Amino acid sequence: MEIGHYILYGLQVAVQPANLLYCFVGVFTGTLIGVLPGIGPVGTMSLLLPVTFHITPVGAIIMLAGIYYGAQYGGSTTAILANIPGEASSVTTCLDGYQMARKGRAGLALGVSAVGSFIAGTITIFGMIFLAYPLAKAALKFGPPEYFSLMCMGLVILTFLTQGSMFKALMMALLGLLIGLVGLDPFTAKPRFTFGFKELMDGVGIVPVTMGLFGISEVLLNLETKIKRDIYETEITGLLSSLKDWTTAKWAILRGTTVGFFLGILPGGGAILSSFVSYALEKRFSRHPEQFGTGVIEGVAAPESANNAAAQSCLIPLLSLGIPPNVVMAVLYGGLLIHGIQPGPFLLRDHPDIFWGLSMSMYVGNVMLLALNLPLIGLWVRILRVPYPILFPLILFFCAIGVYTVNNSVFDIYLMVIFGLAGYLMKKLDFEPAPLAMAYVLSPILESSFRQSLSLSGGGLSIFFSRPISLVCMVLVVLLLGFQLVSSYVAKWRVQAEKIKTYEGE
Amino acid sequence: MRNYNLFSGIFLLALSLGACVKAYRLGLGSGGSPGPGFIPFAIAALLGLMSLYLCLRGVIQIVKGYTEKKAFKEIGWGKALLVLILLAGYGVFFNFLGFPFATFVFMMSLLWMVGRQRLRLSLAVSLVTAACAYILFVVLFDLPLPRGSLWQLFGE
Repeated sequence: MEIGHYILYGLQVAVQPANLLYCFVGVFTGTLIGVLPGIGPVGTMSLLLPVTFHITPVGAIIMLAGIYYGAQYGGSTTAILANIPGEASSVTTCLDGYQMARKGRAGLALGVSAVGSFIAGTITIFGMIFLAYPLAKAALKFGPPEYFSLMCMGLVILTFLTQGSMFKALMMALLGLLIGLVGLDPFTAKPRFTFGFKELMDGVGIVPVTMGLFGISEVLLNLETKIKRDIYETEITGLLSSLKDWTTAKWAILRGTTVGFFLGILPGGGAILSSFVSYALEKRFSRHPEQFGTGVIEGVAAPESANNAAAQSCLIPLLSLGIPPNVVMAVLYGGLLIHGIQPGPFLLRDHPDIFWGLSMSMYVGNVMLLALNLPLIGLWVRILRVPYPILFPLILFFCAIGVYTVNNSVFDIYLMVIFGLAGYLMKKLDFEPAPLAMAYVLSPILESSFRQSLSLSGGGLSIFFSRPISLVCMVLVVLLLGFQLVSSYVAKWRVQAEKIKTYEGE
Repeated sequence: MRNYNLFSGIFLLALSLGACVKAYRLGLGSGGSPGPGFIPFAIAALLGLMSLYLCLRGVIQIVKGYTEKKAFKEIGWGKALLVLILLAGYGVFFNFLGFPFATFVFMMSLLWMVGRQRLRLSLAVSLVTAACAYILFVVLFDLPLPRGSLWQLFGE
């Protein structure tokens, strides 16, 4: 009964004209950047952060969240029509989506992708409402040791799930923690690592860090490669196609939604991971796995539903526990902090408009996306034709202006340049920027929870192992690190054994 | 096979050593009441140890015959550096030239020098961008963007 009342309240917040407008701007921008390869939701959200300073916190979070889930819708359009994943989470959609387009079934692929995303989004919103509320209530019992252990666990899982070496990802997380500590010490107000720059007293801003690491570095990388745009010229018809196709797609959508929902909640998860996992599962349990990659409808329905479900369910740990599970949520977390709102268990009590308004606005946003995407496919395709040499100066210009307007300081532009170079080199040298960004955002809370915990225990580390929730998280951290260590040694041992075998064979 | 471990290891090791020294000077405090340098020191020390391991791995790989020279060939320094210099230059001249003119010059140089677009097209796109950005950010959003100290000199 209580939840029903809150749902109505959330709907009331979401349909306010101003919030409807912010939702529209968010999902439209999201779809646009989803269509365009080379600029992702993290960069765009950072870019639009300064714009949100002038609007209400509810409007700001509605718009920023809209960019993320809108990008998932947009990414599929380019994946299907041009074989270009507009977003990393659409890579799997290219496999079967583009093949469907080549077979003249582009309309069906786009239709399944849009409707599947809508269904996934709708189910996830209700899952989010029913899960976040009890989770936030339980989190009220958390103290500094639990928060510290939870964040450690989140960081370790994120490094565990990164594509490259976990060792390097851990190094980047440590570097991110150090960068997050720049500025005044919260306990003694002593400046740390500011090197005499007054601009660094408040710390390194989230906008230059994320914009540099994800926006500028992406542009620099794209300049080295020629983006091939073979847009498949076809009449887009049959969006809703036959009942048989939809019966096949229906179960794939539901399976994709389930996978996406749970992987989105997990630390380190999100849209990218869930789309890959759901595609792999769909292929693994299919009666005709050999047909995957040739244009089967399940190959589009499952990952597209999964990435949308995950893009929305990852808000659960952010809003109820105050812990961003991935880097996109870390930017959203930073955005909320700038607005003076601390995400976490008290958010539901102190700012119910944000939680319930956002939940319901996501439903409204999903309806908008469904209405927007299908009729506007022609427009997205036309935008995709803008050559990259004309597009990238505009992206860089918006990045520079976005960074400058946060504090009206050119110092932030220089910081962005430094982080842009760092992000570029990191990608070249096989270091992942995501753990750095995530650790950078979590660093201040991680430090204060650690220092508070030590004060509580009188300096003993046993406090992290004597409380059940904290103990479970710490055990998981140790297990993951141990597993990685053992598996890398086993891999090395196997390579050695292979070499010896070959040598003996010769 | 790529081997960049030694370079990145040395860089991160130097960074962590510097951070360790800085953090130590801030004061480590005691277990019950950690000082402002305690956490940074612990993190930097851990990063230093990991960097040392990375360096060692790099050295072992070199001894085994992997080359290090290849690393920098794969990095497109030319375009990347030019873009970063232009971005930093945009920051340097932002206050001096003013928002609209600095934007025009920035866009022009990116389109013409990096994007290798024709001069006329570069001019047109840069002009339109600068004009639209001025109308959007200054006239409509009323953002406090610099008008340029250069033009004030002329005005005086």
